[in-house]
Amino acid sequence: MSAALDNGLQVTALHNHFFFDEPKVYFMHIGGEGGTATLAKGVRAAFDTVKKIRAADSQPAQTFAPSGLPAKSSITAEVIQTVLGTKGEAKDGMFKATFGRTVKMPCGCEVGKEMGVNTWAAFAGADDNAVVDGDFVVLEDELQPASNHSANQA
Amino acid sequence: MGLTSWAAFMPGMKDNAMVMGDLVLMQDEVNPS
Repeated sequence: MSAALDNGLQVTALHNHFFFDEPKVYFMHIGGEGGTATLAKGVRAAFDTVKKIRAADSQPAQTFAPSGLPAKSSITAEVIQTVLGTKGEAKDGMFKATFGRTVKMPCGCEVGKEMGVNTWAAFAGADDNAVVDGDFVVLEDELQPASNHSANQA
Repeated sequence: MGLTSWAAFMPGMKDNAMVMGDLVLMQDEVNPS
């Protein structure tokens, strides 16, 4: 994904096709506009990255983390609250921050946080070995810049 | 069975060309750190 984004392509979707496949296979949709050679180089960069990963290890990895998460979470909420600049909810050593956004629907009416238009991030595990999941609510012209930035921060 | 990576190119509206495609990836190939 970073290879595609770094080389001027857009990543417009990432999804699976099958239930219960093992190892799981993902389909990453790409798009882009520009010079033919530039676009082709972007596609090539993505293919080359895949090739490099498979050359390093012929078997698909089962996990990103070197060690599993602790059974009991102990996330320090203050650390995340300081970085994100917002208060959140803490429960059983886990932490979640939510950012509402107001958008206009086709009916002309406005919907926001209460209707689930939320960017959020939830953390579990330990401070030195944590997992995060979340959602970003973005408009179309914000999606690619946001993905690009996230991919480079990961 | 459709497990095919592909990229298609055509003349674009604004710029020279447009690309669309699909990359078939294992989980560890999606975004390696």
